[in-house]
Amino acid sequence: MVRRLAWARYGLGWLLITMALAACERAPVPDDPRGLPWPRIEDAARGAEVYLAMWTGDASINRYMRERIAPRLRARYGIELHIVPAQSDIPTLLANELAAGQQSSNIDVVWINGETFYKLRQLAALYGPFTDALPNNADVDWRNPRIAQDFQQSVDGYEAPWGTVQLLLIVDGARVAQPPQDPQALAQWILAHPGRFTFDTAFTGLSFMKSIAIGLSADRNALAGPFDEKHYVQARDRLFAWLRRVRPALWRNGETFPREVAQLHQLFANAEIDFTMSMNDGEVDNKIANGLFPASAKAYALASGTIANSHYLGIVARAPHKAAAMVVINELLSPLAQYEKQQPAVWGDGTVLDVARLPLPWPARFAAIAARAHTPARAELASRALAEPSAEVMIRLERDFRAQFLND
Amino acid sequence: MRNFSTTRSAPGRAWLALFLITCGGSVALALGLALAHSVGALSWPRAVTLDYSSWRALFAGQRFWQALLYSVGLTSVTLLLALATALALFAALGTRLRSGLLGRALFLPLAVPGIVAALMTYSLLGNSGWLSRLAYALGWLNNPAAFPALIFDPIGRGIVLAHLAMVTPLFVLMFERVAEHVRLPLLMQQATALGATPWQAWRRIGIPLLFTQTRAVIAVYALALLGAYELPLLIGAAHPSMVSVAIARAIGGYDLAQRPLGYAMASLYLMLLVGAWAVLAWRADHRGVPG
Repeated sequence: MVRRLAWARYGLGWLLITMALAACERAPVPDDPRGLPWPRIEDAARGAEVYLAMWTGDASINRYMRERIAPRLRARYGIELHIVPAQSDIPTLLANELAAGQQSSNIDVVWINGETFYKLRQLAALYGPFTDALPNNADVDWRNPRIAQDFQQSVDGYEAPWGTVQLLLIVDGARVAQPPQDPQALAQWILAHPGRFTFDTAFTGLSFMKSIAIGLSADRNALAGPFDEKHYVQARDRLFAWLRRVRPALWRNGETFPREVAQLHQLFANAEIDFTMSMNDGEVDNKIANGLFPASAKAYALASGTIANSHYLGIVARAPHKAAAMVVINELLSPLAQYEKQQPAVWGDGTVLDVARLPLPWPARFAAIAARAHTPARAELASRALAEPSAEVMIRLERDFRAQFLND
Repeated sequence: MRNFSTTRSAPGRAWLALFLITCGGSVALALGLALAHSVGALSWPRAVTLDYSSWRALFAGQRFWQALLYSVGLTSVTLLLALATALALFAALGTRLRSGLLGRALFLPLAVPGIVAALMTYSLLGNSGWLSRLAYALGWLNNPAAFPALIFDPIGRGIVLAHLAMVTPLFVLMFERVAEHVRLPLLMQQATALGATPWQAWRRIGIPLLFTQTRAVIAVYALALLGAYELPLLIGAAHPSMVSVAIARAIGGYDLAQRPLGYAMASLYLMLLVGAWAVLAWRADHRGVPG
């Protein structure tokens, strides 16, 4: 009898532990809020805790979210915004939740674009279409194909645009007086300056390779449209021939490459190389202001063009607080939040709003944003913008580059 | 007096269950989940279709084996150098390591986290690091970039040096404690009194005794170095990768199709480690030595 009681006690203990673990899984998925009028959605969002998974590798972006967005959400809606550090592992996180049959995700909102959006759509891990339900969506510049298409994929209301960026090369003007303007000129510069150029093997480096691949073609739309094996192979072969030509003159003889763009920035800041690059076209001003890059650093886009794209916010299909997630995204699309974000001293990220259509005084405010001292004007960059190829191009290019240049 | 021996009472069973869950349970669970991921069976007990293509790709491809070989190579070199350095330091400094500043200094490197060690290694050994600048300032180099490439180095010299700095103090500490426990100085003294040269005393008594007593800890550190992640990620080359980095890249990379392969790599690595542990445990049991 005593033994039975003891086992009952342990059984109860295990039951309590199991219940505690189950309670760790957040509240059950609520009803779909899309059909509700916006004030009802705001009411439903009040007091919720929203988990936003995003890249947290830039102090300025983190500060913008922590000091401007989170307090505003708390004051206006009582929403507590939690930032979850994540980047390319977002699909892995959500895929694991889906595979494990988890009913309620630990994440509500994700900061994504391109290949991540492509993967999440493959997994049916995104909620939508939801953008039409957001009041501030009416101000978004959906006529701009760079915004309406994410890596050649129609957004279809499954992600809300947040900002626009373009790949820029960054040089130290004191060391490179006349930056090369196209792939051929860049190859000549690299061959004339052995060991002073390289690129990373992650997102930014792949965007650089795509820009060179398109720049080597007579057609700016060489990789436009849905993935096409023949066009991809032609562009890849041109790019790899260019890379083989310059490889011996790359940093470390092209035998190894920085793994991430942060390592590339580090090499540039230490003057080990003369070029770095960034997919955030406001980064050079920001890094100079923070004392990481020399004041003589400047950014530019190749005349042959560089990849330009947008980044987006999506809602997780099993997010427990969809109404609050929509309110958060709507707030991030507000003229005030977009205006603050575009200021070089804050983040320097391009707006996704059609500024000319905004009510007064917003057009004048956006026009009065201080020009970036070390980066060309957005209008000038736009003329050198290349459309982002489909996500399969990035996936294939990474695999082929690693196989052919890293023997991986 | 309270009896601390294993009992068959209910509380004893509960502690035993907790011990088994903590030790074997977590490994079994990790292995089970990784295996399930690798064959697409994570949604079990709901209907699943098992897919073994990731395992076929693993055995047909080179990625895992290259990474494993690279990890084994770097671990072997690190261990050999660390043990030799620790032994030399212990032989040279002896009982002076037992207390005082030297004794306390041994604990310092053990407190340094991997990520800090990586940043320090970069600052010290990079082409624009302190050593290269010093060499340049002394006129030994034409420019700082001429410093040997020790960081992001495919041979992994930076990884070995950083691990060496982290592990060697632990081995010195371990040798010092074991030497005290087995009264090594006394044994060595007796050996030399009986006519052995200092080198003979070390070769016949000191080294065998120290290594026999510490082999279990050395084996544990070998496994920890083999699975190292932070240092190889931060200061290693893009390729080749150590095995943990290769697994993480396959699971978290751009290509979702590579995820099952990543989990198959993780499963196989774990099985190899468990196998190595089983062999070591069996040998220890049959030799009757610690470990």
